[in-house]
Amino acid sequence: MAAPLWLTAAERTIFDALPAPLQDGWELKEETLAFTDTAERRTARLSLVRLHDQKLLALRDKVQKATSPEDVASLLAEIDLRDVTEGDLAELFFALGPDALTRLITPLLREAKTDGDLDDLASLLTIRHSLLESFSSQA
Amino acid sequence: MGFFSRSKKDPSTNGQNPEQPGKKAEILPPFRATPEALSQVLEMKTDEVEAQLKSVEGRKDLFDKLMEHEDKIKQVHDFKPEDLRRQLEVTGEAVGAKERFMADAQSPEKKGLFRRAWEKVKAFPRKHPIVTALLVITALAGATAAGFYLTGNWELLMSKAAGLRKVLQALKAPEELIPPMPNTPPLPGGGVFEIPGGTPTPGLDIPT
Repeated sequence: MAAPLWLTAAERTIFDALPAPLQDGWELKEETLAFTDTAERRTARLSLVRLHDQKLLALRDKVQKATSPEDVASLLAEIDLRDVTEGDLAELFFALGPDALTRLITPLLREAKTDGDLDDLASLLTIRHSLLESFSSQA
Repeated sequence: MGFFSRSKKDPSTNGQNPEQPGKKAEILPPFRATPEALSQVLEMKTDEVEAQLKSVEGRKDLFDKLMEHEDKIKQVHDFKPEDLRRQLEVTGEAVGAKERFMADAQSPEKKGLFRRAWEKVKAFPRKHPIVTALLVITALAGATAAGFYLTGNWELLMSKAAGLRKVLQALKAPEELIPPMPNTPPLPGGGVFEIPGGTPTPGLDIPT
């Protein structure tokens, strides 16, 4: 079963403009939580990242040795996340934050053409919703 | 000064050292109340710092302890005590949020949902190179040498990578999302309690 689509009001408008057949069958939920990011908040999140994946660490080393943007671009093109642990992925999404995800989600939603595209989006929306809940909860 | 540190000029001196005209004034990196920085200054374990950051009382205790070392911190950082309480609060907020997010992703109720999400994300590199690139760049954000593209050369990098140029359209300014990380120089004379300070690791605490 596909995950629900947690859409903000603005995203719902974009979804409603998609072709009707593409809209069919999706469970829609309204994303009412919000988070305003700041440079200070991003710095704080980045400072908390703990990675263990050897591939990511190796990539970091390669990037450190890269001498040109072209080298970095080719390294990025070789990225393979298949073996990255779920824990490390969670770390990265936390560091990226809900605001950055929103900026990624909007164009992806606008360009969605298949159920597969929306299924990919559902994953990002699930992660964003959990992040928003995490920042909204009081400790 | 750390690679990620942003230059800051004092307009009143026009970059000149008022005590030694003709010689540029030293620009210190800003102090950021990250767990790593607090751990270095206060010689506490990072875990202990993070635990303290989560509570109001813990943050007050950290603030008081940091202020005891104000003079030493100021020797290596642009340290603004008036910003410190807010910084501690923001970092504490992030510590709590991360704990809740990680717990949520592993909770029995959502574990299946998240497993499916992670599997999708792992297949993103081909289909969604932008999302993938941003995740990897996030992983690299603390690496010193990565600063060359995190700060000034995004446009050039994106123009060389097929598809990645869209990042600029989607994100406007990627450096807004991935800020440069300040360096954390060790305090002069070693640790605050005369124990030699460790080698600073700017940004992410990536095990090496």
